[in-house]
Amino acid sequence: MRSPPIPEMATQEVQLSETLAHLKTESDTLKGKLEEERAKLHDVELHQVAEKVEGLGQFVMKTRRTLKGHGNKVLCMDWCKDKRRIVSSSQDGKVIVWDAFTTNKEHAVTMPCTWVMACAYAPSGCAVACGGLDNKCSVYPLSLDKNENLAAKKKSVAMHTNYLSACSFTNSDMQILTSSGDGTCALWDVESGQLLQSFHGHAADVLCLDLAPSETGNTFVSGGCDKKANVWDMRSGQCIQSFETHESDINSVRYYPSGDAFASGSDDATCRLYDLRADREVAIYSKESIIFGVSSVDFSLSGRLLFGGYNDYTINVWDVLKGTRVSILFGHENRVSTLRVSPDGTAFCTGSWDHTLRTWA
Amino acid sequence: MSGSSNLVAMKKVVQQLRFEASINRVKVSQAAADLQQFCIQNALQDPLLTGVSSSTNPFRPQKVCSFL
Repeated sequence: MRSPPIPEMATQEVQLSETLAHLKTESDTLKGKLEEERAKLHDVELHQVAEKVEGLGQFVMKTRRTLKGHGNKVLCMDWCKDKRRIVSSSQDGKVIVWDAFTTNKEHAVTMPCTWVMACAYAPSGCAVACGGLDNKCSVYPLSLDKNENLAAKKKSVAMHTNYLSACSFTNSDMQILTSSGDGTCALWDVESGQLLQSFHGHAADVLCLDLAPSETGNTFVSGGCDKKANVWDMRSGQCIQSFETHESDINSVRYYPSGDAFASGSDDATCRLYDLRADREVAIYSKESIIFGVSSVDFSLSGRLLFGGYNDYTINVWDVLKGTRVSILFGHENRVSTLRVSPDGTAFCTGSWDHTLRTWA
Repeated sequence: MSGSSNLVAMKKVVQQLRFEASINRVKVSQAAADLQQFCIQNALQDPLLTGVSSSTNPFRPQKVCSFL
């Protein structure tokens, strides 16, 4: 008598669950091995190595310019390579290009959506990219004719299935890297709008990204609501390293100027430094008195200073090597939402929910 | 069937972990020394660190000359 088909299916299911269990065990073993390997090389702390380095003196940094003009929270800003122009974007849907020396507004665009969470200047200085709740990243060529309607020349480049959280041109005007609330990052060709590569691996919204300095090759780092910072190979789409030590969303990631490390800022009120060659976290920048989240981080040119913009309206300046805070800066009247050091390192600019941007030096 | 898609997902996780476990790492002492070296080598070229004088930093206000 033929056996009924049901036991065969049962056998298949048993085999499947045995394989799943087998893979789960292997996965746990590998995670353990990863931690072991990383721990073996953890022979010293960064601040111990830096004990003999001269301490930093007092810093006198003040607001040098205040850029007023946005009608609502400033969410993002970026410097132009000419070291004087800035693009900023706001909750009110406006994207403004400023001359940071004179504080004059040079261009203004009204986006069809509110919450323009991301903006970036093209390397040539001839265009800006922006996006947010529209789930897209659009590129606007900047016209020399002030009367020209910039919105007419708008080019839609990226399409995500959730909000755009960050965007950055690669080292030319031709490609844009984006991160999104849909959990992915993507690389796009600006001219055709074609998707060149997508990056999957985050388990939740990706909030930030930063490209490696051009000398170090084709990688970028992203941070997300899954508390992970991932380093990606831009050509293959593969995640090459992953770090999960933050206790909450990672709002900002920025490469150390040598490209061998990156810093992150998180809702857990800490900034952390991860070394890529040691493959681990090597410093935490925190104080018991700092309880509000970090929205954005950036390094000074030598990498010795780390600037963090916080949700308690302040900017904390950290000695990267020694792990201590060297200065706290006041001025904004609401959360600092974005912070970037200028391309020549002479100043840094912050944007805030108080509707203004400030340059500091 | 959800069983086989779980399997595919798990295989990817294991593959990724195998890849990450296999990369070459250096000791923190070495990595930290290199980070420090970079800072020191570039310290003098870091205007925010050294504090550039008003005359050369376009963001710092210059003293205004007044005609007497």
